[in-house]
Amino acid sequence: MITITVNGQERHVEAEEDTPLLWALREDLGLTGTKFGCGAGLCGACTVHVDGEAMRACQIPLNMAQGRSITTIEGLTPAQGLHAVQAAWVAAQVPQCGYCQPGMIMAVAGLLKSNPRPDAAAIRAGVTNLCRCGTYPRIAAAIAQLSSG
Amino acid sequence: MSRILNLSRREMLHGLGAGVLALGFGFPARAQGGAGFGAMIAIVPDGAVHFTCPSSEMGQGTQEALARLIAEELDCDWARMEVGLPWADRAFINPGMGKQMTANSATTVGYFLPLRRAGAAARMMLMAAGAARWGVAVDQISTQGGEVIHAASGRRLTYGALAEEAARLPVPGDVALKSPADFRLIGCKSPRKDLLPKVTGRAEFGVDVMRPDMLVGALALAPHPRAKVEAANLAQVKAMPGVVAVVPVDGGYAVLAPRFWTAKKAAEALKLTVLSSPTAGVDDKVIDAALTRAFAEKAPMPFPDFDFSTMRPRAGGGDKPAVLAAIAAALRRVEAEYDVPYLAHAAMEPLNCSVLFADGQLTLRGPMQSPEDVRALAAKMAGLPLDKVRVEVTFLGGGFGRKWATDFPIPAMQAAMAVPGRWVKLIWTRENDLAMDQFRPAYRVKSVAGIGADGALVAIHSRIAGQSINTYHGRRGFPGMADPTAAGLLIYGCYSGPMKLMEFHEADLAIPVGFWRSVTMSQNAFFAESFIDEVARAAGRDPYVYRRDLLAGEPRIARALDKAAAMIGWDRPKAKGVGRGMALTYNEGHVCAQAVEVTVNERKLAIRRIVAAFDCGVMVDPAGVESQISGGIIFGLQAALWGGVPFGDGRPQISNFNDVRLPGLADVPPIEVALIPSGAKPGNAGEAGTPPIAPALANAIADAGGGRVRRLPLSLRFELENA
Repeated sequence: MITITVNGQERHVEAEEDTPLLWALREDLGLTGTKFGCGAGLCGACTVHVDGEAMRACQIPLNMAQGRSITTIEGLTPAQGLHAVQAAWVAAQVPQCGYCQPGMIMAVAGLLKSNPRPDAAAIRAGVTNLCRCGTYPRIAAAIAQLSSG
Repeated sequence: MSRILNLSRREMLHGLGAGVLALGFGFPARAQGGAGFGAMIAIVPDGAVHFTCPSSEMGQGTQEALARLIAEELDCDWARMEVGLPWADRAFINPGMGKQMTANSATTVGYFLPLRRAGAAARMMLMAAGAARWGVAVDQISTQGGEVIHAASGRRLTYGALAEEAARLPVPGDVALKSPADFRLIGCKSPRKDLLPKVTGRAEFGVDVMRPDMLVGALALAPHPRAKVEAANLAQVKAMPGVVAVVPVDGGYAVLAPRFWTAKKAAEALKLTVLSSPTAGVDDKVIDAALTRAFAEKAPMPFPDFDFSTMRPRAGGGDKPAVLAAIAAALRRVEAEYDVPYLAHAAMEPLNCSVLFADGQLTLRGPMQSPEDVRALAAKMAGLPLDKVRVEVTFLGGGFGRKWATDFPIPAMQAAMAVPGRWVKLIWTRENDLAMDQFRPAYRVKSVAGIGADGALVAIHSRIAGQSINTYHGRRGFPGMADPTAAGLLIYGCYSGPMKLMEFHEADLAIPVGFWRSVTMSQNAFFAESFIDEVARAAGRDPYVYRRDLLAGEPRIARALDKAAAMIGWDRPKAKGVGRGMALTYNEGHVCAQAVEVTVNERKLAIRRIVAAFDCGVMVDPAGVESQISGGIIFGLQAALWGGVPFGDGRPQISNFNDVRLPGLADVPPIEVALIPSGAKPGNAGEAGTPPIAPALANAIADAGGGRVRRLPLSLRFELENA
């Protein structure tokens, strides 16, 4: 049994210790906002915050997450209303199919937390998630709005 | 939830015109119980309106558009309209298609009037109920924001309070619809309702279906869905810790376990021996030879000369002897040969489906574009009557045509039938999803044109070779006629003047193929719009002016082209190494003209700007339309730059996003979309952005002095760098 802190709560997970955090979050804890896209750390659909830093949950074996503090999209969402990044996403009407967007939002929230005014290079380096619908122009607009205010 | 508006299906059919739309004014609550007749609208006592959207939402905004159509005419409180996901049901068929299927950009077109009529009919019944309650004439009644109002006496009641009485009234046979000038929701730019669940992670995609005691399945796949394989170590894998069952399914084996990770490791341990495969030995050389052989040995099939739902009938009858004679007699001839590769869909949500087989009934729940076809096929394969099969649709994490196919729910069904009483969710890994794609076929085209003395285009003859999607899927074509998904608009009918002849040589290959966003246009826009550009340049003419002259009878198309030319600054002077190119696509429901500006320096290609001018008639959700076009451009850009699935050893040689390159935020150039105001009837937008970008880029590269690109992807010759 492995103990992790997820969205502020201590949780115990029975899964095998090489199970990626992604699957433990989804199947053991029912937190399905974190998506499976590639299983290889390439697409970012599973982006969560680990001790405050945006990371790809498909690449973190459960035993490496032991004792860490994990925030998922469910934890980022306030009890009332939306996180600033989510609100910007709605205002800019970013999502199409929406599948990549929780990961995208977690990546951007992580970036802005460490760098509230990222320049173009920092955005390019910090947001490498993939979107197949092609929502990038509106993602760029939403980030611009967030980092200008 | 109590049922309030209760119109029988028959009444609604009567009220709305038989065969138009079976609108059950019903109750999501009842629908959850079984596979009975569907329900589309329910008004509950507190006044909330529940709308079960009949089409699949895969990002194209169909839920928002259809909800607005109902609400616009119903005049309900938009903030209190809730939109739900559909299940397979004849009540939900797209009246324009006769089927419950979300494909071909046919949703808004098909439902536009029927759903408005349904909303208007419900509003009339609510008004009649109010008039009866108050004992006043119905012409003194009005509505506003979900309330029925008698202005003279100041009385008002919510729709919820009147719905039960309204439901007992006859459905009006004749309904008046709002004038477009009075639209409040159709055409407004407010955010879609589905954005909130999508930014919070609450939206349920197929892969998110969770049920108590559910088993999760991973696949060990054969090299081809119709291959025969044998597992050498079946007993050993069945004995692995946590493995509940290993089930032979179409295309391989499904390994079931309580957790996906357990199932995946066991599936990877399964050693498959291939007994037979339709693609045994197929590699890129075999594909190339098959295309060559098709031209040499396969009798050409002409393209059928009549209208399809989204294609115009082509001009002229394709008189072969006359076309060939005209080209032979022409002052000059232009010839070119083009190639495009197989393309993968790579939707972000990998294929998956959840199924329960219990008490002789099947329930399938997943991300499907074709729930009706899945239901029929599942019933047939399981040997069950249709009413014992329920098919429920979740949000789709991208479809792009892949989830139109019915191949992925079937293995999930086969796996579930091996463990009755337990839900089974089968999840394709990314590697499985790419390996088991139904690819956009590779095509080769040979085109020849004859040019007259003044540079005028006399005749074009284009021949295309490749696989037929209809053949792969066993779909009936028209005897002696080409598969329209291969040959349609290989030469654009909108260019009037020249004689035209299109022919298809079907290649003898069994690679799984299917519909890929924009279908025939995904290849034929590149062929048609590259070739017309080559012809114009060979005639010494400006490619824009040349197209413009050929569009004399097409003011709507010409207007879009003019707009794109103006946006890119077609006539502005340009430095050496800078090029501009344009291309267009069109069908009965839209015109999309695109132009790009690039710089080319040896192998370095930079895209400075992409512009699009788009006209799809009346827009229900203009912000959604804009996103479909910009997103469609990026979808097409990926294929143009990097698309291509190599084959070797009888299977696709792609595994994950390390070798299927998708653009990231850093790769996307500035894109401007102009939505052209248009009085035309509502059309379609989901596929229109994708086709023109490849030929526009190829034409711009030629303009920049980078040579003519006749083979995609561009990465064969160029490296993309940021402008």
